Amino acid sequence: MGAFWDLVKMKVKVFLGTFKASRANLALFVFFILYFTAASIGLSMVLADTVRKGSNPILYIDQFSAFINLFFVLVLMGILKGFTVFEYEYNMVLTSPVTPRHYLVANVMADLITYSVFFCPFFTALGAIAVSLGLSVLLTLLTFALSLIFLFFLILLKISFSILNSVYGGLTIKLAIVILMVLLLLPALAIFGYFPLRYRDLPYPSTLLAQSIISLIYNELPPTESFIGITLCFLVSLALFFVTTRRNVFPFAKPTPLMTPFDTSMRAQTLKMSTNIRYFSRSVFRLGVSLNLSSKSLTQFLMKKEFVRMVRDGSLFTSLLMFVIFSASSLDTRTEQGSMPAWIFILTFYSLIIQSILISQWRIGESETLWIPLTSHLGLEHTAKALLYSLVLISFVVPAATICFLTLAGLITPLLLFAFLVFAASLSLIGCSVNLFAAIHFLGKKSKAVPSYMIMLVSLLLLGLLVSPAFGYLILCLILNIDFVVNFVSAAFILIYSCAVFYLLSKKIREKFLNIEL
Amino acid sequence: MSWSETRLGYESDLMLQLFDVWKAYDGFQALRGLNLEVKRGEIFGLVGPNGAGKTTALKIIVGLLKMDKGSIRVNGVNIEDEPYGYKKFIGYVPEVISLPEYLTVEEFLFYSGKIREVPNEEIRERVNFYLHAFELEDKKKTMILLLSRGMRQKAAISSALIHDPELLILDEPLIGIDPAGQHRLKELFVERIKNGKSVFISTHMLDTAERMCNRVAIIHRGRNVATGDLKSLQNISKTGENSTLEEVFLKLTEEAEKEIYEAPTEEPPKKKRGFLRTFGRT
Repeated sequence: MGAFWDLVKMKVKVFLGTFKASRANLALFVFFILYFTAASIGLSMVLADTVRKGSNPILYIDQFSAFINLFFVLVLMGILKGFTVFEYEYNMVLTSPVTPRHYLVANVMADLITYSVFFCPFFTALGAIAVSLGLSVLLTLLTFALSLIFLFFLILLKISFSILNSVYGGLTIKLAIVILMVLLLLPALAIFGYFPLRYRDLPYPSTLLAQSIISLIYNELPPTESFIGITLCFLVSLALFFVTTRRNVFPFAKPTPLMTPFDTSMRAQTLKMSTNIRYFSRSVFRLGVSLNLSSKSLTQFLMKKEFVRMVRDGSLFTSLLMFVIFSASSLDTRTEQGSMPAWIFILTFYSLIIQSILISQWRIGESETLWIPLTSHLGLEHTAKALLYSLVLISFVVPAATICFLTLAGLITPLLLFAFLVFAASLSLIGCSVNLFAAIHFLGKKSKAVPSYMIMLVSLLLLGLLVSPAFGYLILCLILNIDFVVNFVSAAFILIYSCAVFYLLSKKIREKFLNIEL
Repeated sequence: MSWSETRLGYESDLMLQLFDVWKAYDGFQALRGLNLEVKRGEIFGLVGPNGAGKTTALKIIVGLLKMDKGSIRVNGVNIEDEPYGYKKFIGYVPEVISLPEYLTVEEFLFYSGKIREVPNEEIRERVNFYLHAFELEDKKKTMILLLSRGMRQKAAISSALIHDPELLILDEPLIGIDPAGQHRLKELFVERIKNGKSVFISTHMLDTAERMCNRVAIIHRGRNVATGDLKSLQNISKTGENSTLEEVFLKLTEEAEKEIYEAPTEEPPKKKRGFLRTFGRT
C-alpha cells in the first residue's frame, strides 16, 4: 500500500506543480471560486423560489436529465480516446511494479483530491438550497450521497469502457459508444417538441438521478425504484471495473501530454491542433483554398494565409458551427419582438466567445512559428495587421450576412438592420483587437506561463468594459424606438468610438510585437 | 541604392561581430561577455557543451532575444541601430523547428519568400531549385504536418535560403538529416562560401564541426574559450598535432571550468530600467 499512496501523492504534486508554474493561476482560481459560488447561490435561490411557488416537479425532470446526459456524453467522448496515461506516468509508473488496478484507483483518488476544490460552488449551491427550503439534514445528506454515487458510476464506467475500447478496440465498440451518445441525447429534442419520447418515460440513469434529486428538493423521499436503480448502476459499474482491471492493460496505454486546467505548456492543445489539421485539411473541408503568389500586396497575401490556416485547422468551421447552434437554439423565438433579445445574445456570443476561440486557436497554432516572420526584416508588423484585418472581416461578415438574411425574411425592420449592422461592426472591431491584444500580451518569453483560460478571462473583462457603449446604443434602438436622425448620429458616434479603440489597440499590438522575445 | 547597401560595408571582411555580449534570463547568466568574429566566405562553427549559451547567442543575433549588454554587427550593420533592416542579410534555422503545419511545403516556401520581399519570379525559381536540391519535389504539395523530422529540416533550410542571405545561421543543422542529405548540405555550404557568403553553425556534435567548418569557436558558460582552425586550437590546447577537435574541446573546457572555479564570481551587468534609470540619473 506504500507504493499506492506514494503514487497518489505524486499525482497530486504534479497537479499542484502546474498550478505553481504561474502566479496567474491563483488569480484565475480565486476568480473561478468567487464567480461560480456567487452564480451557484443565485441559481439556488431561483430554484428554491420555484419550488416554493409550487410548480409541478415533473416538468423539471426532463431538463435536469438532459443536463446530466450532456455531462454523460462528455465522459463517453473521453472513452473514444481509449486508455490514456500522462507521458510522465507512461515511463515512470507503467514500468514500475504497480499493478493496473492500483494505478487506476490511485488515479481516481488523486483526481477526487485535486478536483474536489472545483466542486466548491456545487456544495455551496446544495447548502443554499437546503437552507432556503428548510430541508432536513438527512435529506441534504441523501442528495449529496446520491450525487456522489452517480459521479462514481460515471468514473468507473469511463475507466472500464476506456480499457475495453483499448483492448478489444475496433469499429464495433466505437460505433456502440457513438450510438449510446445519440440515444442519451435524443430525448432532449422532446424539450423543443420534436421527439415523442421524454426522459421521464425512459429508465435512463440520468432520469433516476433527476427524479431522486427533484423529489429531495421538494422535501420528499426519492421513489424507491429510482434509489435502487442508481445503486444498481453503481454496482454494475463497480463490477465492470473489477473485471476489466484484472487484465494487464498497461501495454494498451496511450501516452498523452499532461493536461490540467492550469497547464501553460500548450503541448496538449498543440497536439489537438495537429489532429484538427489532419482532419480538416481533407478535400471536403479544404474548400479549394490554397496559398499562391497571386495576391497583389503583402497584407493581402498574409490575410489569405490566415484564411487558409482557419480553414485547415478547423477554427473557421468550429466558429461557424457555434454560430449556427446559437441561431438554432433561438428558433423558438419566432416573433419579431421576441427574436430581438435572442439575436443580441447570439451576436454578443459570436463576438465575445467565437472571436476569442479564433484568436486562441491562432495563439496555439502560431505562437511557435512566429520566429519565421520575426527573423525577417519586415518583423511582425505585417503579420499582426493581416491577422487583425482577417479576424475583423470574418467576425463582421458572418453576423452581418445573417442579419441581412433576417431582414430579407421580414423579421427585422430596415432601421433595426442598420442598428444591428453598427452593433456587429463595433463588436467586431473592438472584440478582435481586445482579444488579440490579450493574446499577444501573454505571448512573450517573460509572460508565457499563463494558461489560456486566464487570457480568455482578461479579454472578456476588458471587452465587457469597452463594448458597453455599443450595447447601450442597441438597447436604446430596441426599447426607445428612436428616430432615424438620432439613430444615425448615435451610430456615427459608436463607429468612431469603435475605430478609435481599434486604432489604439492596433498600435499597442504593434508595440508589443516590437518588443517580443521568443 | 538602399540604406543597407550604402552602409553595410561590403568591402568588410567580417560578416558577424559580437562584442562583449551579456544575457541573463530566469536567474541564469547565459552569456558572459561573449566575443566572436565570423569572416566573409567561411563556414564557422560554434561548439560548446549543453547550456554553454550557443542557442542564446544565435537567438540574440537573429533578433529573437535582446541582449543585456554588448554590441553586434552583421555585415557591418549594428543590429541595435537597424533592428529589422539587418535581417535582410541573415537566414536562420532554429534547433527546434516549428513550421506552419497547415501549409504545404511549396506554400510555406512562398510564404517565406513573400515576407522577405523576394520578387515572385525569383521565389518560384528558388523554390524549384531548393525543392530539387533537397529532393522535396514530390513532397511540394504535402502538408508540413505529414513530413518527417529530416524533411522538415530540409524545408526550413530551404526557407532560410529563399532570399539568398549573406549569412546563414543554423542551430544543430544536421539532426534528423540522412547521410546523403548531409553530404548535399555540405556541398551547398561550400558553394555558398565560394560566392563570398558565410555559414554560421552551432552544434555540440564535434565531428560535424571538425568535418564542416573552416574555423571553430569553443564556448563554455557563456564565454569564448578559444577560436581558430583545428591547427591553431591544437596549439592553444597543446594537445598535439594529431589530436581531434574532441580532445581539444575536452582539454580547453576543462581548463576553463577550473579557471571559473578559482576566479571570483563576476557580477552580471545591471539591466536597463527605462524611466526609473533615467529619472535616477537626472
